Amino acid sequence: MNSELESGIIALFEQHADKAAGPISVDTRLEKLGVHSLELTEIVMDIEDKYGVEIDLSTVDTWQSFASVGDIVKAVETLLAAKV
Amino acid sequence: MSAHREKIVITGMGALSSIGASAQSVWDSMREGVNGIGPLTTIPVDGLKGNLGAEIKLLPDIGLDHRRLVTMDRFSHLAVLAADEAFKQSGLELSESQQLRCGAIVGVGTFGGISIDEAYRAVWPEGKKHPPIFTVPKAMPGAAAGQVSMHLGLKGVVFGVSSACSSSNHAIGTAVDVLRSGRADVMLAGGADAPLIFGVLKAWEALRVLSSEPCRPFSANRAGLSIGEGAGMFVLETESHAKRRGAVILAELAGFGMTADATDIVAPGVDGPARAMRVCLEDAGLSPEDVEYVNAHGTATKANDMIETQAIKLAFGAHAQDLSVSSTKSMHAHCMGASGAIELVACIGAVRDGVIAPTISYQSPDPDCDLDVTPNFARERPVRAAISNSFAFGGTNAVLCVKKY
Repeated sequence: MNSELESGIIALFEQHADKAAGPISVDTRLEKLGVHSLELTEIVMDIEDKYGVEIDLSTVDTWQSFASVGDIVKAVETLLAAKV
Repeated sequence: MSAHREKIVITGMGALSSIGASAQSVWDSMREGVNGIGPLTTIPVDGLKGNLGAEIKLLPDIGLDHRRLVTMDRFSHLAVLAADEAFKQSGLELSESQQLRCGAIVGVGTFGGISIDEAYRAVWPEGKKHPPIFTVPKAMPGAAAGQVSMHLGLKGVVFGVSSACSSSNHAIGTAVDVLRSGRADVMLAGGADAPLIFGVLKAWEALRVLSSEPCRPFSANRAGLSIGEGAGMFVLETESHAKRRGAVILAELAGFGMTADATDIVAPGVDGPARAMRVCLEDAGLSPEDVEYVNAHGTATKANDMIETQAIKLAFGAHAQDLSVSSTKSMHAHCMGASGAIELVACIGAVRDGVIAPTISYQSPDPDCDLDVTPNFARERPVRAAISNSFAFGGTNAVLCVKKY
């Protein structure tokens, strides 16, 4: 995985995650972030804005499609590659 | 009204305002005449003509979960804090089946103005593609009732009430009806509002009713209102329910009255408020002479205080001259939909402690406001019954009565 993309996306997660949940890495499971179900959608929107991509999923689909932070990084990586 | 009807009692209270972050500290400050109106320091005031308000500098931390907190606008947060305090004081512990018989009605006069301001800023000046995701569930006025229900596990009658500045009293009065009708055993009721935010303050500024100095209710040189934030929540239950569980009863919520002016969206009338006071006394089974204290709506606008004086005289007749009247808005400012709830703390304090909270910042008598408005200093006086007036834009009037228990 692209480490710059990885740290950029983790930084966006950190703005929302419960500090008590500990440091975030690509291996962090989404349910361990301590975020409200709708916050994940907000994080996805932040990612879309930052990287100019569109992850067109409903809130439910987002939770079902991705298990970890790394899954989202991979998805963005794929979308960025498709743009080139 | 029916004499055999079951009494409704108050067994818990919680409140927050600029003069205290608990019901007891709010009452202590009221007795001492603490002025909670001053320069705003927790919100940006650039672009506002004035910078005065009554803000709560620091909210108590009761360990609310992050996932719950991110979904709340400040007005809901205030409601939850006040409800938490009231519920703890009541000593209630609810089983799963009891939860189904308990509810909450929360009055909110404004809405989640903070969330709406953030949303508009995001999509307009900041040019973002989307506003924050919780904008809708945070901004809706009914959110406070829902959040209180989630926090305390109340699964019965739960909804929000909105009637501008009389929202709290309508909420509490409606909760009394819910209990009298047998739809619930226990109701958390009150109000909350967090209007100290640029967009809302700018809108009030446009109305040209804000005072450039802390408000002076009933004073001849009064020059408009001051706006504050806060919440007040009360545990109400039938007397038999409270007695069965051995609860400490703080006061009786003896009655309430609701009327409308049906004349103008902003200009107050005399007849509507006077009728609301009379209906309230009738509902409580009291004569004017049974009441010692009136917590006035007392906004400190020229029109309100003069008209309220006339209305009190119309409702109480000759006894009006024997009443102690005060506007505690002189201390905690006009907390919009939370006003009536915070002011109920003054009424409960009056019947329990025999102390009338003062109208502070009072400077000069106004012949149009010639009742005893308890200027500047608290007064000791035994109080058997007190009423609390709330009159709102929209011409909606709601008056509560508490009796010593």
